[in-house]
Amino acid sequence: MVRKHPVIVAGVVALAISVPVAGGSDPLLSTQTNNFGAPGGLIDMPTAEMAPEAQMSATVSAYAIGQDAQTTRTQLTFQVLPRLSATFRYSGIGGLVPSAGRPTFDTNFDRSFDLRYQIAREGPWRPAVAIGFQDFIGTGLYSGEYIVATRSLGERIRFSGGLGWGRLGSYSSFGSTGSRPDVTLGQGGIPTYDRWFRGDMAAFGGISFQATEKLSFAAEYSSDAYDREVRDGNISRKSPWNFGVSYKFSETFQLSAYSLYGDEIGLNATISFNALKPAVKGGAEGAPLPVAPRAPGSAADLGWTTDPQRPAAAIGTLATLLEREGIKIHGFQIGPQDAHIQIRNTRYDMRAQAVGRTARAMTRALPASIEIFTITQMIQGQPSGSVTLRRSDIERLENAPATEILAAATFRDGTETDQSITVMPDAFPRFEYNIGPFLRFSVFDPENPVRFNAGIQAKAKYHIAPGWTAAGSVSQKVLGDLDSVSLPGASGLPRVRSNVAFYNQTDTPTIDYLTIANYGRPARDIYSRVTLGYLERMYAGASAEMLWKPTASRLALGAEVNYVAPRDFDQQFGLRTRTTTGGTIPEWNGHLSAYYDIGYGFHGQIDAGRYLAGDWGATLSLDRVFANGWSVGAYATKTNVSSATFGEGSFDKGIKIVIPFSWGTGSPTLQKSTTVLQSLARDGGARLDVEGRLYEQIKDTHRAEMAKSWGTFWR
Amino acid sequence: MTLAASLRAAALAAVALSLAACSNNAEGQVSALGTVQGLLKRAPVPKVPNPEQVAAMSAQTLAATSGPVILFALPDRKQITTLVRIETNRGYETYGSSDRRTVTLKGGMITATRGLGEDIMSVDISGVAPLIRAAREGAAYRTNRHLDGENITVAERPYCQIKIGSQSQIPLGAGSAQVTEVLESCVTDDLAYQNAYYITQGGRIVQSRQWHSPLNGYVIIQQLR
Repeated sequence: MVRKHPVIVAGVVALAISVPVAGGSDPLLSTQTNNFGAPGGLIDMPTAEMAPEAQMSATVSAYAIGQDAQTTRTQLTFQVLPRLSATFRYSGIGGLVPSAGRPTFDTNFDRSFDLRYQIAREGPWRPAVAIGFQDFIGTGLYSGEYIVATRSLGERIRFSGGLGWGRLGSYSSFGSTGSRPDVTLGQGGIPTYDRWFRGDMAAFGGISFQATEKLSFAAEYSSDAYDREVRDGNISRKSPWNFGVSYKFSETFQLSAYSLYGDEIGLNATISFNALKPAVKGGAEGAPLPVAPRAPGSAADLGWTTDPQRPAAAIGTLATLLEREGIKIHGFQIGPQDAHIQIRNTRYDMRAQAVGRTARAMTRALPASIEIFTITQMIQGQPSGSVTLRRSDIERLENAPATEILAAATFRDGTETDQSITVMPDAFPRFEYNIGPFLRFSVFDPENPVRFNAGIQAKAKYHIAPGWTAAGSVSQKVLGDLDSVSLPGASGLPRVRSNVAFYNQTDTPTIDYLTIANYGRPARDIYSRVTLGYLERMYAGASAEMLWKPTASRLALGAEVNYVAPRDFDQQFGLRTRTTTGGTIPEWNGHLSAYYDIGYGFHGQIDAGRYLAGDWGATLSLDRVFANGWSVGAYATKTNVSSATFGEGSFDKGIKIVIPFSWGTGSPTLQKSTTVLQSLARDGGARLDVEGRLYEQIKDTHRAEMAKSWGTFWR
Repeated sequence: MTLAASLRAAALAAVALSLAACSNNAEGQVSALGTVQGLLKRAPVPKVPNPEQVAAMSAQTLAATSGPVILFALPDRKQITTLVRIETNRGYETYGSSDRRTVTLKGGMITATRGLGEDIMSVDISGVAPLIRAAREGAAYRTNRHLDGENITVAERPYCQIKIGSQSQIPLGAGSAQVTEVLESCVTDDLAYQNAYYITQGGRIVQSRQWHSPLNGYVIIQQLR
């Protein structure tokens, strides 16, 4: 054993002689990623290191570049929690020979998903320990599990040693725990639980050395035999040793080069950013207006109430002050001792900041006798959440911690406070337009992983009357290759999404959506939406939604019903037949939804009902959410369609990433980027993509979400 | 995916997303490229203003208003400006600049800033302020609050020791003033800094160097009037 596995002996010796770590426990953070996109300083082998919390890295690694055997892996890794790291990988492996019974290919494109959990941090005498699952959902080309320990020696050196199963147990294995099934569960796309920690096991290890702040080196002994790749001639494994050098250009960009198995040179480029590290912590926007305290005794003066011009003059002053803050007055009601202002917030993604700046402006513009301020945020022309504050508290707590004004604030539903409102003359009708570029991606198509269309898009919105909005968007493609996506094979379901290729073939202007929508407040805590027209690129019809969400509640319940008619492929004004090669597209679909703000940085959602193709099922979404608006989450949909009918990928799953632009620019803005990475565009579990769903629009104006970043109230 | 395909996609994405949009909504002008630039850019290094320029700026501000005026400098960022008092509230004086940045002082000690980046949101100096103003040696905790990367308020509680320094004559306004130097040395787990206050016989802080944030370093404030 000593002869065959020098690395195990070395690892044990290293752990035995290592000196105690100063201080309590060390999570062994690393901003580097290895050749598989996972955090750590080694090459193909995992370590027990973790990335800093909320770190997101995009890693592209490749070897045999330019040859038939070129293997490229693109990974997205996210540090979900301090001890949990998740990686999504898309690999293209050249030179493989397809297995019997599987589809043929030139390059094998494969999706995989990894998780790593740090069981123990490094202690004074104990190494950090982690367990991991590599490629544990799906066809399992990279499938493996491991337990690994990492120990640091001083600030610069880290030793790692561990045991691997599956792919990580394939070279020089010294034992086995049961037998490892080879058959893919279902049709792929299901966690391969029957394989975990079964089969041959082998030892691996390595050492990484941080030479300078920017430069680091690594050497490892790899237990991954690359069996399939060696068999098919993709790589020849001349040696189990890998060596690597890594250079960190900046916090954001890192480049590595590796010598792999004595045969290939590999390259690795990583871009990282962190949801908790914005461009400017706390923002760099201009200062708010200071609170204007009232002179003692002035609050008793009600003389102004006899002057009919005073309220209008005060509102005029207030509107001017708020205009500079990006806040518009929608409606108002002024009494002798209270004032109610309805605002349209056009700038602040931190809604507490919008309310705070409005409160400050109100102290400067309104007569001294007005003591109760109520500020209601308007969404789509209807009142949403309302905050009531006492002017005395605002004056008293301007320089106190924000928690004190939160305790003094009352949150109510906007419908409770909208009596006797005078709507501003410029509230309706309002017209907005926007003309700009667009970029539309199609990823993970088996034949060509990245296709896109780019062009010009013109959007317009006409706010006709309270709750009534007409909206439309027209695009013209300028360049792109989405039209060369080929039609997938026969589907057991009506083609509700799988014929997207036909919709991408048109070169004339297309109507993305053209709708008239009504948003309503039928009762307290209840919101409604009805949208008619061309709802999305592929469907026209009607969509109706109802949402119950009290302002103080973490739970929301909703129901949506849609009537759809498929649109013509040219996406102009026509409709086409419901009949498709897989079946008839049903007229009705809809869902019941439950949304829950779990707290501790998580948000969950369940939707259950009938999907576009007529299949019944449910979708579970879990998102890691941050108070600054970042959200990284995954969803999975299971329907009553059998995996044989559904095809590859037994159920639909994907990743959703939301990045607020204010995080990147340092100035507040409502704009954000939402990216959904879907495993496959199939017909099962497909939902209508209608604009303006209620929950996303109103949740930020309610207490739970506002309280998370209430520190921005005084900002 | 092939390397060529991803490079091509990235290049076209950069071009497409950098084109500015036309809109009648001023708030809709942010582009994705602007966001990335914001993350990656370094602030331009401004030129250090020379003493003549500073004196001229101060004289201009003093002439334009009759209220209190301070000279406010960020040496690490090579910026210096005059701020005029725009509001008082229960002893907290807010000074503002023409480019919408404010500093709030209580008895000459910073209690809040806005618009500087990594702003001080609020402080609790009830322990250290009486010692400093009375120029008395001692030690107490202070609390400094700011927003973290998630826009959540975090509070630091450094332990501060107050020591009396030397007496000196410093130029002030048209003449000069006899001041006592009071040093406040504060320590937390991550940070150590030393604030210096120059106090006149009457207990007024006319000049000070106060720690702001890792982004801005120290702030120097001089009460011009």
